[in-house]
Amino acid sequence: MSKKSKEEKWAIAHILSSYNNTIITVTDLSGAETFAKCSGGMVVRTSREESSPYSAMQSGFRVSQGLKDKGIYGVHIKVRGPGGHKAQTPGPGAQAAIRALARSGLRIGRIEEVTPKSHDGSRRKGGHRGRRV
Amino acid sequence: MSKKGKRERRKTDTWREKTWYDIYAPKSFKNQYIGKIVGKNPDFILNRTIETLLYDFTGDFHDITTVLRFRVLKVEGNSCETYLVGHQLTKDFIRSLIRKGVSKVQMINNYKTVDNYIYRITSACTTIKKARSSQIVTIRRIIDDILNSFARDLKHEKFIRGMIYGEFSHQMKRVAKTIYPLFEAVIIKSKLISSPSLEDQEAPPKEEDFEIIEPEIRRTVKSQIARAKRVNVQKLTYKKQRAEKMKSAQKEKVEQEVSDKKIEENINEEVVEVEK
Repeated sequence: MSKKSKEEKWAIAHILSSYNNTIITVTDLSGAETFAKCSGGMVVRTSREESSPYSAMQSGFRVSQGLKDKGIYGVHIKVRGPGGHKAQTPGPGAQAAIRALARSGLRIGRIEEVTPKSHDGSRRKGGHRGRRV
Repeated sequence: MSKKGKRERRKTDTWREKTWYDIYAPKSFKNQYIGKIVGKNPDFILNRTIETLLYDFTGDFHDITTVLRFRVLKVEGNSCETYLVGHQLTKDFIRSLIRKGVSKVQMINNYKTVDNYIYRITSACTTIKKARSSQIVTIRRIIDDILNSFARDLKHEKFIRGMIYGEFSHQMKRVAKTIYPLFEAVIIKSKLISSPSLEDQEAPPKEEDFEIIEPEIRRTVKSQIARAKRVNVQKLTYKKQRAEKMKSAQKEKVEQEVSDKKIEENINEEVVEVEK
């Protein structure tokens, strides 16, 4: 990242990837206006495939097409898992989504992990004896 | 909802109504360009916040860990003025400071500058090994004293500069070192709590050096007194002043050499004349 030129338009891609889904929303630098968004359910039929890397890749390509129509040059990426008292690490779709964005010709700025981490939060669900399947 | 009603409703293309606005940093960051933002009209743009790295302004690789946060104050045509709302170090840098068997001395407090700006500052020191609780308490008191004395006689422009470019943290480290050996001293986070009217901002002052502050430390424990005698605070002075001293010393050396040469030449000439 050298000096910024004024003709290039940048955006922020917020990627939420859990073990059940991956959601991509692309906003402007202030985060107030959304340019494009896509999730696993918009690409795949079965609900168990929503979190798969394949669906993340497809939704990444779909988002980048929407961005190209609006003339956006590059994206900064903010990845996040569920956080709180749930899983702390991003799910399987995160890497595939980032790769799809990069492959489709968008410039990638900085990549940041923004999972919300509790300092001393509420108790995780499941009770004393854990989840019984 | 009947089917008819659904059909009549049409999706309006809101994207065409929107325009791009350029965003510029405030005077204390030399009005540099930050980025572009989309909005319907200027009323939607006001009070939006935008984040950048300090690295984008300075180009110094050490500044890549600080994130600055600006808020839009005024919109004129397509360009927007902003003011600083706070800064923060990135998560991964803070995690890198803390290791096993060290103690982290952290404190959060509000500081009021001369021109009635109130900043909430989170500052922290990490020690090399585990410190005793009495040492932690005195280190925390030193941090508070130094930040308070800076806020008491600085205006907000200079206060921001000291806060972000690491002048305060350097002074904190210099004095707190006498209590217990430190690994790092940093200002993790700052936040603008309240301010007077932001419309008429004064021009930022010219770059001046910061004063070296020597807070009074009540040393009661024997080991602390012993360490204060052993560690010479005067030696751990501020980097820039040290560099300037070195430069001036070098200059003097060069001047002396030049004058010595002149004297030698004069002597030689005299000798030649005498021989004639």
